[in-house]
Amino acid sequence: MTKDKFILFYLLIFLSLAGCKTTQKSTEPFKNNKNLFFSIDKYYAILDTGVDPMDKAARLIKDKHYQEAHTALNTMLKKKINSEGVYYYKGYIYLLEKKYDLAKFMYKKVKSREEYIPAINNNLGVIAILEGEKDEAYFLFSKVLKTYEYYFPALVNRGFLYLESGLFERAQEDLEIATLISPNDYEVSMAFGVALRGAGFFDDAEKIFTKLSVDPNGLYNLGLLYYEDKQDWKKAINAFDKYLSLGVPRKRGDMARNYLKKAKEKLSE
Amino acid sequence: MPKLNMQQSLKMAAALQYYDFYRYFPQSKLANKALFNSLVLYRKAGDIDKVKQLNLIILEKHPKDEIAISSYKEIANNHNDACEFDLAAEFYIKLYNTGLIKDEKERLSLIYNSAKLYLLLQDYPNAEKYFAEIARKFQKHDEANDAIFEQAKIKERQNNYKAAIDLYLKYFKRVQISNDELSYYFAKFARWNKAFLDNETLEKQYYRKILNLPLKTLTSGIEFFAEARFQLAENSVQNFDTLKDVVTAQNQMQEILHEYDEIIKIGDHKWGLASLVRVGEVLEGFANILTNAPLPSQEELGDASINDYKNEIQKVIDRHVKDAESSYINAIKQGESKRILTEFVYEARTKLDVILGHMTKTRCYWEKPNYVIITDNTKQELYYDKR
Repeated sequence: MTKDKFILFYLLIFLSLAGCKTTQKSTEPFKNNKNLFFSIDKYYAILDTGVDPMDKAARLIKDKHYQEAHTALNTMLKKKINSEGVYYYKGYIYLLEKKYDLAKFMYKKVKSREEYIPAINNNLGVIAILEGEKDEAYFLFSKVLKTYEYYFPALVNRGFLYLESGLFERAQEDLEIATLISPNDYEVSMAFGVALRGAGFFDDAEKIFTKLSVDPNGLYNLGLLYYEDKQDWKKAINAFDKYLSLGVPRKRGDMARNYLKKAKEKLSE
Repeated sequence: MPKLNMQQSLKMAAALQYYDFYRYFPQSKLANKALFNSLVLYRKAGDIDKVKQLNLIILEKHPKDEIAISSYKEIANNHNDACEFDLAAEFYIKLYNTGLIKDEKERLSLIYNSAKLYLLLQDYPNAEKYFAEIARKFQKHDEANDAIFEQAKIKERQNNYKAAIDLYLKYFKRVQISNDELSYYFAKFARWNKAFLDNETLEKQYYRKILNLPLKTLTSGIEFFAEARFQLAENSVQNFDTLKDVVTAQNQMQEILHEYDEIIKIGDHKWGLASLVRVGEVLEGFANILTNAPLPSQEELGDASINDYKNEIQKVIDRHVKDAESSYINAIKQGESKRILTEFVYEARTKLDVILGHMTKTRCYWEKPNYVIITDNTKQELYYDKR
């Protein structure tokens, strides 16, 4: 061992012990705060590698390097660092990889970390939808919303479930809150418009579809609303004309042409 | 760096000496024992890296020796704890295959653990292979029944419904389950029967079993019982529209409506609602049959004029359409008020719109959710899973 390495070795030992004491002191006032999850284990892990392993895993997931993320997380498990966080992230990766059994298995291992619970229940609900268990999905989304009333993903997912089943009144309740939280989300706004139309709130649906009429689908729905519900033939003609000028898919284009023809006939009557 | 106390230091020193003995006298009769003692002492001293190293040496050089048992177990358990389930399953089954374990219960637990892990990994060929072995070789144990049940679930996931039903029934013969649970499985069988299987053979085999479930014994399973009956009733509805003779159609309609009425009485949730929609469809179907029926000759009419006949028939048609409309409205109301998630509410709305002349009301561009949101809320980012 050279002299430099010898000094560095003992310096690291000193820093580790000092760090351990400091961390113990600094976490003491927050012992009851479950949301704070800075642990001594994590501190050592950062000291070892220079990066927070959890951040590293999150970055790998974001970049879709799932296998590398698994490896990083497995290493954390072997070192017993933040196990529940690791289970949570592994569950999330398995869901992205469409390995639903493993995702469920991992999520069930997270028991005490409250900050993960809404996301876990939401994601378990998504798995239930993908496995065709709509009732189970509904139960899980509702469970999240009972505690976290404005939890956007669960609101949207439950709203979609309602909408898919034709429960328009229920769907518009959830999707209304979702659009207030995220007014620029195109898919959610479109779903809200459809729910409003289905529930018979034609004026409100008109406002939404008008806002979305920069897009062909918004225009098409606006045309339908004017033709079927408001029977405003002029506006229907206008909407379908604009829609057809955008170069739309053939099947839907044929339907729009049919409506356009009928609307023109009605106008001339 | 971990501090070593005196006890640990002594253990490590002893472990090193045992290991040196093994290295220098590998042919000695005591060599294996020395290696094992070294492993045990390193384990007690908490030197994880050394333990790993020695475990690998043991498995590489002495895989059939008794000293390998603890190494197999330790490696498998470590892989299991680190969520490396494929490796864990592999080591459990390796140990099972060595034949080193003589105790039957322990052997069973090894192969069962392995099969369960393969199932978790959706490695169905391996899972099935080991569950089949459990069912065959460990018949006296409860796990043998579990293995049959798991095999049935695998067949179900592989869409091999006929094999799944056979295995489920084999399981029911061995294990007493409640009528509620039974009705859950009968509903599944009836669903598969309708969608994928040869209706005739399965209907004969299960229809009586399903209908004979005593209603009074059911609590949570009542809705499944209703579903089973609903699925079985579907065949008669499918043929109904093709009927041309009014009298035959009327008789068949009465039978079908009676069956759906029974289901509505039993299941006041999803399947009662579905039955309301079917009632509407059957009534509409009968109205169509009446509309398309050939007019009788003047001889058959006697004194009545053809116009009077047409008016009377139209009244009957209108009455049936009106009843169908009420049935659809009822279904929609039930769906909204009880928040029942089923495609039948959508179906009721579409049918109702056709009756009312609104052809497109529910056919907006956005017909079904095309994505669901999964979330990693710790980073406050949303990921969209486009379906």
